[in-house]
Amino acid sequence: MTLETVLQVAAGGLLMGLIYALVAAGLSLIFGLMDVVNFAHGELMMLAMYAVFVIWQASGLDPMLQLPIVAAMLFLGGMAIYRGMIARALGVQFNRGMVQIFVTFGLAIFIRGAAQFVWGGEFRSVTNTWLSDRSLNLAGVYFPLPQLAAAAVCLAAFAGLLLISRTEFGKALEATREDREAVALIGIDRDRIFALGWGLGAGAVGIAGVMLAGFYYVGPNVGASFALIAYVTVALGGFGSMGGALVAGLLIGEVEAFTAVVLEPSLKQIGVFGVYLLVLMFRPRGLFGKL
Amino acid sequence: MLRIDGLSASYRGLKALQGVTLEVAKGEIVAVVGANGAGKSTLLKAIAGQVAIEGSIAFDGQDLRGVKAHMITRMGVGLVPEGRRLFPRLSVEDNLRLGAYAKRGTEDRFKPLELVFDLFPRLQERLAQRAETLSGGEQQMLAIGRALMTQPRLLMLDEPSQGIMPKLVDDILAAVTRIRDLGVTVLLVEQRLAEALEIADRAYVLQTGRIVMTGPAAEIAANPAVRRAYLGM
Repeated sequence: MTLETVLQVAAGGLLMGLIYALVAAGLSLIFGLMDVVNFAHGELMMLAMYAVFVIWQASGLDPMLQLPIVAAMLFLGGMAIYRGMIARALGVQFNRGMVQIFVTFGLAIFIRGAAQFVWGGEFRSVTNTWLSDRSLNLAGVYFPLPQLAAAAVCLAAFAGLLLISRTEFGKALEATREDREAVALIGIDRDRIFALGWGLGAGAVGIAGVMLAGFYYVGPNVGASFALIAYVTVALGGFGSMGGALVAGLLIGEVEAFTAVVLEPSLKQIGVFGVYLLVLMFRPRGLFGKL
Repeated sequence: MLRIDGLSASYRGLKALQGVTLEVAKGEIVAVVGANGAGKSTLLKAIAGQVAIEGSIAFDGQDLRGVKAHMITRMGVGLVPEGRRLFPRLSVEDNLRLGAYAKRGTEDRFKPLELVFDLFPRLQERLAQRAETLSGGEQQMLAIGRALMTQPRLLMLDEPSQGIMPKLVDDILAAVTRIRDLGVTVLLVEQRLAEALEIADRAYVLQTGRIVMTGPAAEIAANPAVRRAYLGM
């Protein structure tokens, strides 16, 4: 491998890694806040991608312009999922752990089935966007603009999440995460905090989905493959850790990119899951885990 | 201000309170004393909306039954719970300021900070420290301070002396008296009979979930039967 190839592969890994990081951040946020694993996380991303496709097909609106619309849709959708399903699952008297697992697992299967029903199984893609087929050449390293924009937006969204965590609402979120019973003593409605947490988690994965739709195919199963990588990322970074999700996302992106070159592209996930096994064996709490 | 009538409640499957009737008037310090397991904590949890109840609890004439815990706090009932329940990884300052979270949008919501620092100057020295790094006594001060930030009209304290150096117990109880003098009504639950009755106006003796004696604090303190029979002293 020449130096140029190494840089090119590293650049590709970096761009995908930032997307992985944002997807994982949404998952980690919800888990850290309330110990619920959202198994429908990938499906929320898939819905965001279909939303982009449908709006683009109907109106020709560029994905970049759709970003605030679809992100807001996902934010509200996340809140609705909490209010309609998760809050009830938290309130059951028996087998709460099982119920919490199956409620989001069932939701994932439902969304996937519904997407298959509505849009069919074939791959769709959004074409002729502002950024399609354009790229930036930096010292011989080639950055496709859709991927570059996606990475930049994901990084910005990440910065947004960190800013939120420094606000008073962010402190209330942290307080709820530390003692969900005690926040009632200071007049905080934990259901509202949980719902907003779901909104933020879904909004984050929605932003990733919108940007991904600019260069990636859309199909009913697209979310599942990203969600698998997100679980690895969250496990590597440490459950509930935002900074961990960022570092781990970048690492996973690089591992995947280099595995694809060293072995072959169809085997790129071997490296990712190899990392997962190593984490489970040697550092189960992840790099920055608080558990 | 607080009127409880025929209150029964279960905690972890056990009947912890049976037909408790109790009243707290504005400006009083009322102590509820009793041995371990008498139902003292459950009583405060019931008022704070944390356990299911039978009977009635009225605060300023409003029925608290079925009201969610966070709304009871917003109505002006502050609880300093057993074990303090601070937010361990947040700073002292964040713990205090979050006490005013529910009052966002109102002016002067951080004003009680002055009072808190006046009562507990140590907290002001430790503002940037994480709550988990404080000593037991300081944590208790912070828990009381956090409750004061919600601007309660009724402050309920669950065993504020627990796990604290004897010297600090007096400081904290002195602070409770000052809080009352500033116009906050106090309902104090304590296992330490002497200290609690010293600052209280009236007291109730709770034994296995029932009120077995009530009267002015001085009378209860002077009653030898109380010490022997109900408090194992």
